[in-house]
Amino acid sequence: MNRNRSRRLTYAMWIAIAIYIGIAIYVFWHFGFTKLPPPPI
Amino acid sequence: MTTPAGGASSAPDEHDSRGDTRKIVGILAALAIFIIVLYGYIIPLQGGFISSTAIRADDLLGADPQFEAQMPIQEVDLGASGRSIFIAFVMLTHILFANLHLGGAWVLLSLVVLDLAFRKERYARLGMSLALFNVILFSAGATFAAAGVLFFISLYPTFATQGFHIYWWPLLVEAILFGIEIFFVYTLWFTWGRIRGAWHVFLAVGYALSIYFQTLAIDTFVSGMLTPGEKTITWGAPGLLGMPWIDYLQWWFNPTLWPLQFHRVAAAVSYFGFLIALLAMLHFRDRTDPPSKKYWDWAGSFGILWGLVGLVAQPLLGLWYMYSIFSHQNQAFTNIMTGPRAWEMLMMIGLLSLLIVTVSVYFIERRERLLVRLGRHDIRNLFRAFAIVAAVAGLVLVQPAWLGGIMQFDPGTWANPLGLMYYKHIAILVLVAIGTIIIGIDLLVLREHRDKEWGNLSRASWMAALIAGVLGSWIVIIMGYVRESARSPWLFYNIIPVPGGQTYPTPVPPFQIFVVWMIGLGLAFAVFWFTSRVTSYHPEREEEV
Amino acid sequence: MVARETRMVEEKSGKRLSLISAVIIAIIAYLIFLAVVIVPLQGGEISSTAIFADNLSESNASYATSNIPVQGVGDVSRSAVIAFAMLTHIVFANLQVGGAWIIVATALLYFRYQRMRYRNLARSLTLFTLILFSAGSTFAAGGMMAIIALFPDLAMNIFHLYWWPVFIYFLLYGVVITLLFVFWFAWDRFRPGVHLALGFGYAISVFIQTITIDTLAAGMLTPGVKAFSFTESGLLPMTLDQAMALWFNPTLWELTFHRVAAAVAFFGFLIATLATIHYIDQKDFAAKKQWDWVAAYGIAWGLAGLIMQPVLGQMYMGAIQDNVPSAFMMIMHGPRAWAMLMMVTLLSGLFLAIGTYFLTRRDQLLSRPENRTIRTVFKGFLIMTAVSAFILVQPAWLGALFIDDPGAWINPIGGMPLKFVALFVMAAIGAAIAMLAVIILTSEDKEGQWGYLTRGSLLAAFTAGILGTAIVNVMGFVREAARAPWTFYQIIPVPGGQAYATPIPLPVIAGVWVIVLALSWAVFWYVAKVTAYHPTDEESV
Repeated sequence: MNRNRSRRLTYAMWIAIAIYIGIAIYVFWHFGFTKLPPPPI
Repeated sequence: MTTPAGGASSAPDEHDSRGDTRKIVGILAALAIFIIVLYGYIIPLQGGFISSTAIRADDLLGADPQFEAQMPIQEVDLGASGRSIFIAFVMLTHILFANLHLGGAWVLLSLVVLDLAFRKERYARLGMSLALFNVILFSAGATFAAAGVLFFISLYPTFATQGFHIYWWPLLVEAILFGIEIFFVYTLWFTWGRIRGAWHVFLAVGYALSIYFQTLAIDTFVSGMLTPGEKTITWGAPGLLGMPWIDYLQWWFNPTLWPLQFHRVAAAVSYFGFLIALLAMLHFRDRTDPPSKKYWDWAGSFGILWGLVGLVAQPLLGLWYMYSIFSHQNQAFTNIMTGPRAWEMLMMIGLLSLLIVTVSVYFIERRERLLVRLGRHDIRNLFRAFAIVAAVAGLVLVQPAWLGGIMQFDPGTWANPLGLMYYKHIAILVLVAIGTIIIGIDLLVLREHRDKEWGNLSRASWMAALIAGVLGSWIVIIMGYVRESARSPWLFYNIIPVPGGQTYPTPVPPFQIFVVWMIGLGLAFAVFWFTSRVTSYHPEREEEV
Repeated sequence: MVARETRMVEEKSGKRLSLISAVIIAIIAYLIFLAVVIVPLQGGEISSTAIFADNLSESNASYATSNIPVQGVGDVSRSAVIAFAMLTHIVFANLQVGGAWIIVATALLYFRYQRMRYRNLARSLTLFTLILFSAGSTFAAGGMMAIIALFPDLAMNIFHLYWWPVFIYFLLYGVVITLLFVFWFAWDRFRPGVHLALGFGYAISVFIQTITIDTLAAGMLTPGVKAFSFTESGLLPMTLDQAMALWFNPTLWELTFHRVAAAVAFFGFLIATLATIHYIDQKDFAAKKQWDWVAAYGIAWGLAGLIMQPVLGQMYMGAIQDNVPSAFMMIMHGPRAWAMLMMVTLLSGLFLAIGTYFLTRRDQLLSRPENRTIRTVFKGFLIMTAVSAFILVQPAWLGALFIDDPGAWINPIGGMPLKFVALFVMAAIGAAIAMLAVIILTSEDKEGQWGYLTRGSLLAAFTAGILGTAIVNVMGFVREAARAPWTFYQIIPVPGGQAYATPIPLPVIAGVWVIVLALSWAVFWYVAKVTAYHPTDEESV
């Protein structure tokens, strides 16, 4: 039981980390690549 | 119970106690080369030595005469930049002390909860040490804040008079929260182990929230200086509100308030974490008894993890912040990203890359024995790959986008093909991913296995943690300077200029600010180490960790 | 033996409680009389802004202006906000100003006589002031911020003119906290010589810090210049002569020394009050013995500071009379005289409380037949103090704003010469009691008597602490009220004219005082609980 719970917790944490990296990619895409900086003329 | 000296086999131990110090030499060499190239080559070629007061001379002529200085300029005998150097020194040092609370409160909250959940002595011990540390250093932060206020009113009277009037209510809230905050942290320390868990958590939450809102109150002012809520300052009738309510809200809740606020919290958490690591390393060296060595080794690792958590959050928040500046104060954005202050961003991102590399090296060295024992060569190789990839990403990030002109798009500048922002965004993303995965591996895979290893800190990882502490603090005051110099030559952007015109150019020039950084850091570290010697609770006996 | 003596004390305490109760009731009754009868009859309800309206409009002294609208604070007057921040700041700052000398003197006594009680006390007080250092600096910062926002022209001018003194003031914050912290850290670690050097360094740096801020505080009432002309630029905005006249203005030294004496008295009484609280709190006899002794020790210090104040106060008043006669008229012979009356009421109350403390606490010693004379002397002292107090609290006139206004009723026993005599009598009695107290404190015969504090003495010591804090608040207000309706006397007026009259009326300032007292005492009590070093066993205290 305890072992099971800790395993589930571990998975949850990894998923959270993956989601964070996903958010990071999105944020960089949204602000960084499409809006910043002004394209060189 | 294993003691660090009497390990199982002697030969690997001999090797482990030193670790691979070449990596440390590499980090230090990289740092030195980076600073030398930056100061000797990039800054001059990007116009970093030319003041914003000169570059934006035409804009300054358009300033409303009522916001020009009416009093003679108060000099401080430190040359033309003397006043700005003063403010920079006081404010950057204040930030170092104030961030102890802004970041430390959340770390303390985590320790209160961990103490409650796991009842391990080390959580309570570290929590009490940090709480007392913050109680004692509270006055230092407050004193520097007050001194900064004094310097503003004396050195920039028109600005301070207007600013304090616009921000009277937020500042009142800030002053009141000083009292509430010290009550919470003092009681938190005093009641550790004396009151029921829920109440203790309440105190920790109260401390964290009061400092959070205090920072928010002052950030209305700080962010408003860069992105003022209105085009000019228009006063109305005397009374409770000197201007319409809606105008106040524009000033207070200006476009960059929230990005600045969250970025600051993340930076403070990171700073506090790395600072714990640094102090733990000093205690580790200082103490001779095995229980203490074990304990401080653990505390260092705990601090590094928090430092990393704050660090990986910053690029996202920073990008949000930069984007807000880009859309609301475009000229300031060009100053710091594609203009003569871009070197500051390069320096900041360079140190950030180096921090990730250093932390990777710390984990490589720190977990070497453990990973070998567990047979996890995959993780070992992964850590090594991380250090190399982070170094490559760092090399991309420190590329100047152009050379040979004040602005990136000035005619005749050389555009660096490697300095495109696209590459840099990818490189930062890589660093964020590396940092996040390291946190994950250390917390999730190695969590239970780490405990037997405490006390076997190799010299290389000891030095890596120390370097991380220094870099983590330095980067905080670089970021403060970036905001300050983005604003130059204005105090309230495009409204109130720095008084004195061309005679008193801003921002503080690169070499002077370097000296300010070194003095501020030196002073803060001396105070931190001294205070931490008195406030630390060391283990008196071997505990079951 | 112990039980019998305790019982004896308990029997007497019923009667002895009545004496101090009478003193407390007399003080409260007189303060009510003051508020209800004297204040209205001396024009205390009329603002200085109204009285000096002509003066304000004629003023042509120059200073820099910003034309910013007045910042209101809701229904609370701006001056009340400043008063709250500044009076609270004074209470906490006085812990350093007065406490530094008492702490270092106590440490000196410890190194000289090696008694644990000196050591316990010095360490407790050091940690106490160390922790409360931040409270003092926080309120200083809060007050400064409020001044900048609420009185922008004043702030803009003074922080420019006083840049260097205030700059030194801030540098000294760092020096003070460092020395204080190292002094605390140094217990059991450094040699006594080094340790004491640190202590004296701490006390001296606090003293210099007080001087630097007093250049401003004194200058606001007696500016050494007629107007603010920013003639120069660079390191000084004015000529060096002007700067010196402004900084080392006519009342700088009087104010500084009066403040130090007041702070010593305040801290002494504070020790006494906190000691009584610990005395009640602690169960074991060794601790009771120590805290009983500490209360007496604190009262001796309080007395030492107190007897200096009438003399220093008169010098201060004389300097005010010479330099700003209209302000002197206001607080001595005019509509703010009630504040001075209130101050001497509290002063008299302090002397009475201390007399009662000694009379009730020395009971066991003095009740022996052979000591009947000393007992009679103490009783005589108390009666003489009461008579002096009766003279001191007489209003000099009633029924007009100023004493020399036509139609004013002149009180035959309210004249200054008689009051000088009364003040002198009080100070002399105080000095005599202080000397007796020091002899008794150090006498070996007395050693067995500690630990049997009567309830009457407990209450008296406690009262002294409260009065000592209250009087500091009142004195701060007197200077503030003397200045009204100016922020910088006869140069910068309080902005807003008749719509924002100053000084604060009695009910408002009384409210501020109550809040400041309650807040500071709650903090003191709370911090004292944690910072006290109690004797753990029956050591020689």
